[in-house]
Amino acid sequence: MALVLAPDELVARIRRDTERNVLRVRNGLKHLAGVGSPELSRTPKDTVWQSEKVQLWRYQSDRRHIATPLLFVHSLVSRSYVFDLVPGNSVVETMRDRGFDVFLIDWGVPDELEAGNTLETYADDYLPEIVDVVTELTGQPDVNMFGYCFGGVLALLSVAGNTDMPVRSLAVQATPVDFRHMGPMASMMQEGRVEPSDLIDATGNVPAEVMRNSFRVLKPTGDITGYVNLWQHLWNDDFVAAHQTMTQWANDHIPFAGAAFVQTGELFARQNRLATGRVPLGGRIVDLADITVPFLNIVGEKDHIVPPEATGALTKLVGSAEVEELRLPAGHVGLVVGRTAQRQYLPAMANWLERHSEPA
Amino acid sequence: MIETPPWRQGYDALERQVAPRVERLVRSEPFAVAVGVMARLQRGVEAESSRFTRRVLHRLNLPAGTDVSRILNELGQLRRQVTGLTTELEDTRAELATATARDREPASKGSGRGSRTRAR
Repeated sequence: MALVLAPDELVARIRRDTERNVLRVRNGLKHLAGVGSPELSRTPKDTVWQSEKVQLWRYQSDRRHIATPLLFVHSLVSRSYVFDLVPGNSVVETMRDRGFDVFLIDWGVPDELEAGNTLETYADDYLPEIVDVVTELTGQPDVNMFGYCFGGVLALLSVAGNTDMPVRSLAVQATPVDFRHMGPMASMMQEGRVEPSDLIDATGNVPAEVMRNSFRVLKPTGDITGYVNLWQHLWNDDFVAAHQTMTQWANDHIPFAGAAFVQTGELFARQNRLATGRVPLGGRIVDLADITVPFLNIVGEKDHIVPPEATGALTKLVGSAEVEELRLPAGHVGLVVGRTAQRQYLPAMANWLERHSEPA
Repeated sequence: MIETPPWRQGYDALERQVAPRVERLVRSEPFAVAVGVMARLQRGVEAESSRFTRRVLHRLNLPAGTDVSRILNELGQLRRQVTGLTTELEDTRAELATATARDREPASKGSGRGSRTRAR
């Protein structure tokens, strides 16, 4: 039976559709011209330490009431501004407003100078030094470390391999350990398929374009669906702004240091060593069981990049007496970005972090 | 109730059919092998092109981009070695300081930041 609208409903519908079409044209033109994109990473911060391209940022705050500093360790393959997109949709802003003393490591954009950086460079050199810097700056005896995605892998290796590092607690989010479940990203690097060294360019690094394509291949129709969503909601200013923000970040990959990439391909994708909890690193075996600080594993149940099967085993591998797992109905980025993240997920994480912090 | 326009319903229906097939394809062995072959071919072509360009530039007594890359790679290695040596030196100094303090006053606590040794 055909739906028949009353005359006033019909008029309202026509008016609404006409207004939306006008907005579609306006937003469409702005999008094509590349104008109107929100300015990102606006939470005020200071660069408190720098070594080569690596920077440590401390977010300015006059409301710190949690003494133990919170150190975010980002991944090596994407831009750190995912932690600070726009006001109202920013992890560092939320944690700062919660009362934390927030620090974020930005690894910079690797070039030839960083091509030889290994996993040891990040886990055994940079991270321990940065933790020292944070404790000296804040006058606190220890830090709470929070690793995201591959940043979580670095955090795990660092804390496990440097047990006297002053880390009070460790939280990791969307962090892969069992690479059998990482889809084409890992399966392509099995023997006889893609040699990790074949992906390295003349600079000695894996180009940003290759990294971007490795994510695209996880959902081959994802880009098209994204534009279909945009077309459908082009009249909605908030949707368009959010789409531009996420598209910019999702396409803004950086090169992966060549030596670290080859290690990742061999140790993790091929040998799946992280899933055993024991990784040969820096001339010794780093054992995740040597992590004994309170530990939180945050899992996105709808994460198609790091599926729950790839990250869930972590809670059994660490040696902490206090281990918790926080499973959230979110995707890889949705764990920290978006309204639900702001209202539900980040507060849950903050609650755990605050329980494991000293008050100021 | 959120309305989904008919054109969107059509796209979603098509995507539900196409997406699983494409995902199966990109997860297949032949696709992975093909990507590996393409990557090797691309590197090979780039390497050959670089070699040719380098020969031409060297004949003109000019440096090639790959020369600069090689120097920067080595500079990066050198920098990492210096950082490593500096850290070892600091660790050794800290250990010596702790040992000296312990020898002088066995009952007192160690001085400074302690003797945390970085893994190497």
